[in-house]
Amino acid sequence: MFLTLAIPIALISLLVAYAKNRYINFISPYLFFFTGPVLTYFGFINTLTGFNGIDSNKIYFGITFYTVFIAYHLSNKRNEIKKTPVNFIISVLNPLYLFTGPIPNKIINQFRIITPKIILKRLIFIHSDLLLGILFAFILAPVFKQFFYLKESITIIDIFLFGIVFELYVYFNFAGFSFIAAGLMRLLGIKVLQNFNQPFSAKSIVEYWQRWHISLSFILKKLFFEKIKSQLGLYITVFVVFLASAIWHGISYNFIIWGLFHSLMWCMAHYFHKQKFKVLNYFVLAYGIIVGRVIFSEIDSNFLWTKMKIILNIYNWNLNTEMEIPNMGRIGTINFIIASIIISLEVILPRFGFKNYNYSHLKSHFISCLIALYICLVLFNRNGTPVYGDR
Amino acid sequence: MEHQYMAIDKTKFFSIIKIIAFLIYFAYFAICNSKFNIYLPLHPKGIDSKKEDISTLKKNLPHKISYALIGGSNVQRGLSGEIISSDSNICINYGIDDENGGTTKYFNWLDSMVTANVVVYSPIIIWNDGNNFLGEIQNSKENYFPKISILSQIAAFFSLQKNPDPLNFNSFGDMTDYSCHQNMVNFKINTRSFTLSNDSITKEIIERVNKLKEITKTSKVLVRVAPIYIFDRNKENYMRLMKKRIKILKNAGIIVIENSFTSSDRTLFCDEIHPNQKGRTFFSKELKKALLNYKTAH
Repeated sequence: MFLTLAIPIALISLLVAYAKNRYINFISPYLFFFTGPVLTYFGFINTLTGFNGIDSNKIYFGITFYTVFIAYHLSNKRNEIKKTPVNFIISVLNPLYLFTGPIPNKIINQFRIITPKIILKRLIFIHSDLLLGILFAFILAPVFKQFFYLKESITIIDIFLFGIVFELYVYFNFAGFSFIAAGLMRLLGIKVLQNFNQPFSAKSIVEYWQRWHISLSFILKKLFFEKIKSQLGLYITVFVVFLASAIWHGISYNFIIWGLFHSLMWCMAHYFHKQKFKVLNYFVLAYGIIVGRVIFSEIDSNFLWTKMKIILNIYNWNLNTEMEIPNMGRIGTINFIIASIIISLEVILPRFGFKNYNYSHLKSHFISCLIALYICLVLFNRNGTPVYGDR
Repeated sequence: MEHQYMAIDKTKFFSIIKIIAFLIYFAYFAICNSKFNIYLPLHPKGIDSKKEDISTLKKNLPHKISYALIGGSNVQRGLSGEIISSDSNICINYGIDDENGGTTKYFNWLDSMVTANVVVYSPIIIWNDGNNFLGEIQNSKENYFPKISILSQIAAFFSLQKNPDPLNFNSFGDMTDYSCHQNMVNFKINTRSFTLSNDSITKEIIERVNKLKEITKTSKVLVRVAPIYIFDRNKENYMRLMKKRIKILKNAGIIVIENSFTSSDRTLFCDEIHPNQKGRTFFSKELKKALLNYKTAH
């Protein structure tokens, strides 16, 4: 079904790649980049708040991801498209890339006949990415859904708690699905860009953004940052990049505010880093992540404004909470503890000198084996849809 | 050299364990999707056992059933035949989770079994916004995945040793051992596609109501809008949208029960579309009142 729109878009992008008009060459990548946002503006697809997992029409399946892939290649790899047009089309239409990212930065160019024997051989060493992805997306992420009722509360504690809970939910879900995509691609013999790299190990919000949704950050850097930095200077460029990123998630007030907020946080963190204000940078990191996620999730602008007023009005903070410990059941409680341990290790280990990046501590043979056994025992249908949707 | 061999052995050992885990899960997956799934301890009593229970009850009933509750999990979990029943009116809950895999299959099961004065049909598809995530398409998409983990099956096996015959349904067709873990998310519909799909959804419901009239041999098939949990600020908007859909149904001659179809009280729900025990009592009492009003008026 998704091919009904993806094929014509892929063919149009191929034609555009051959265009000789320099205005078309300049503007076309940005037209493709902003296709998704325009569709959100006219209501054809939902915005990416994290609550709109399933979209209304399957013909838009993956559109925000493959249009960004096209934008990047038209902007930076036009010659490669011309050299391998068929591979380019296949890369755009690759369904594994489409369901939730990561957005690929390369055209698939190594086609080998994959026999069942090869697949079996690769399955024997079931890739740790795949196992980690299943653990994250289908077992740990759903645990946090039980706290979503906090979204409606307007006491300051609940607003912050919701920010934390929703951040963790999005992280486990999105990172999980990215790992699954990477693992499946690895089974087919294709190595893809890692999409997450322990974002909570970051020491500042600048570093956090280098570790979160890496594939999109990479493309934003190539499409916007590198092209305008020399003319506009660092801080205005960062503002433009965050605004582009915000609009990519959907055209709505909350994303514009989210873009402005994070560009401000980024600039503050950059300044504090230069001044060596380490503690202040930790504060900006925590505040940016939590408040940023609250803004990100709230598409109702009136309600968002109510929440923002509460956050900013420090002197009138109401310290009550509607938080209740939900009955998660035994397995749910164990999952919650596992999720907490994973996050704690991610936060603590690098601060004690352990340079364990790229989830190396979760990908060792022994841990990977434990994860496989745990998945086998506790996995069941939890309706784990990708938080970034199928748009 | 020796170390190298040991390393290889360790890698092989872990790989073998991974494969064993994969194969066990694959076998479990296959069993859950085969006819043998009925032998798994935690598999809810199958459709046939409910049919058997209700048939036994019907044999012992002194008179014809007054009300039959038809629908999926929102009926099985969200309504109680026992509460709606009174001395003069027996109400039987024919609700089955997921309508046991699709309306056609479910209606075939109901055929020649349900005889009631009034049938209350509560199709969750009424909330479908054309998104294909409620109703039958969801069933076909997700039913293949095991609904219960292996660990829960093992735990159930040991608890069944102590209590070999757990009763899942009482004589009114209600679930007796119903409990749930709260998992609240705001019920979300795409308002634009909700309006666009009004005609196709109402057409589907009208067809189903006509089919139910044939099956149950009664002309009194009432449609009930399954109550959902939504955030307070969305309430007005969703009610306005649903009222348009109800109007289309009423114009087609369908009787729609006037009940509260949205609630912002999360103490009544397990998740967005399934009431908990408290909610089941609340919504059953509400339906009982509505049915009495209907009976008085007709």
